[in-house]
Amino acid sequence: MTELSIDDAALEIIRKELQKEDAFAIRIFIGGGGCCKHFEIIPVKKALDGDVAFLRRGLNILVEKELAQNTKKIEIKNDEHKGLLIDLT
Amino acid sequence: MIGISKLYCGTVEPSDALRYGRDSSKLPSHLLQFSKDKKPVVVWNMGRRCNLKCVHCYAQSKDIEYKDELTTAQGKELIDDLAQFGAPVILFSGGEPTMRKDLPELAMYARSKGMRAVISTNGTLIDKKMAKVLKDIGLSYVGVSLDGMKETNDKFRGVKGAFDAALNGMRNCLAEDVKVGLRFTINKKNVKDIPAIFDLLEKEKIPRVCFYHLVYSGRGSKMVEDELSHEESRKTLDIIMDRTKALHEKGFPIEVLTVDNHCDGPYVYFRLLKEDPKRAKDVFELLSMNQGNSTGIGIGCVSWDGSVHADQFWRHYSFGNVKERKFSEIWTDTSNELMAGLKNRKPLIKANADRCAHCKWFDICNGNFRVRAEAIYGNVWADDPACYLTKEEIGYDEIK
Repeated sequence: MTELSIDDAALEIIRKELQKEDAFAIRIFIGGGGCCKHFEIIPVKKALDGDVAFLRRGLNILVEKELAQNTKKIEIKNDEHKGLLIDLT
Repeated sequence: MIGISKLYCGTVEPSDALRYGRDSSKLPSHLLQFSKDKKPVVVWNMGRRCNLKCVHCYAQSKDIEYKDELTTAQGKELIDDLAQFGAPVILFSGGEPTMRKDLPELAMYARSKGMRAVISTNGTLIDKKMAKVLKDIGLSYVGVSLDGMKETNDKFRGVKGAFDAALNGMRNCLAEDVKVGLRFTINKKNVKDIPAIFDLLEKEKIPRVCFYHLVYSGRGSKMVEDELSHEESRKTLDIIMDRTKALHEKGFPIEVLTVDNHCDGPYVYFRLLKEDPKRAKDVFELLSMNQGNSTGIGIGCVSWDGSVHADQFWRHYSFGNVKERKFSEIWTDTSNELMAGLKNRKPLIKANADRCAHCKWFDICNGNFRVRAEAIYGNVWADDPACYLTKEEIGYDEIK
């Protein structure tokens, strides 16, 4: 099972987005496909089958099953210039 | 882009997550973008020159030196801008990108800026030495075009031996542990080869295949003559799903995608409704997240001369040139009518396209490919003629 950490700034950005969309959780997944894969985050109303759920300071975070299963640690942080970033180990 | 293996078989290739993980320790962090705000994957046709003579080449490339291509320094300026803008992926294409000597330098530069770098190549020039170079660059993916088995492919490519050379290129990549995949553009002349292509993937242990639907662009395009009928498209999707499932059941969970026709998504959903209704529900959610066609939004293109296009099929329309103005400025300038329309296309399509206006899948496919509508009807906002869903399937009579 992967660990998940999220810094305060990232948490606030995501929380605001969730409130705007009136969503239950955010979901992290590999978007695109083939050569165009990249990391995406989207507010969702419910989890999909196999999603791994985390609760961080009242925020529901869902991670796509395969992403969670194949990483030891997921770190989400905010960079003032670049926006949200994700590190995987 | 529709992930057939992900939607139909419920598998996501674990190696991608692992590879991203390994990359993260060496490189800047990956961007994590809200789906609605995501920046474009950018295809850079970095050079027009090519050693093959493909009959359907949108670049009409030849093996000659072309003038006015972006220099190495201009390429780096483009990459600086794309990285700053937040473009997550740069796809080096051509012509044949391996013919540009500065490909390694530019691809490594993109990686150093935190972008994923991938190439689209004919594969014929990837000898052992080149495969090692691609490995050292740290490319995330090498997509090799093969448009059929030997006889069919070589006819398309205009060069005898192209199939064998491309296959050797893929073998050399695999030997270096460079992620490689096969790209196949479906048309009337090569559709019969698809089962043999699956056999080839299995035999050669090629882990990914992308089947591209034909995109005919520009008025009067003759390519439309090679387009499958709607019935043939549906049968082809069934074959692709059958063969994907068979490979997964045999323990070879290859990644299979179809590209350039978003009605494949609902088509997979309809099949799952019959076979596995519970999973069909999740597939519906996944399709909703996919957001459909993203020409002018989530994918963009820069030509060899620096012209910016909505995607690689909109070469007949330029929004500006990166030699004069940054890509990020051109891309966000909605004073251009087409750029504004593509970014907010739904009202335009609803007003012009009868089927789309009555389609319950409209939010999921986002109107499919506008460039095909323009090629056939002369109206960018008309129905995509390649949508093969029936009136019943789109719920034509349900939506007033």
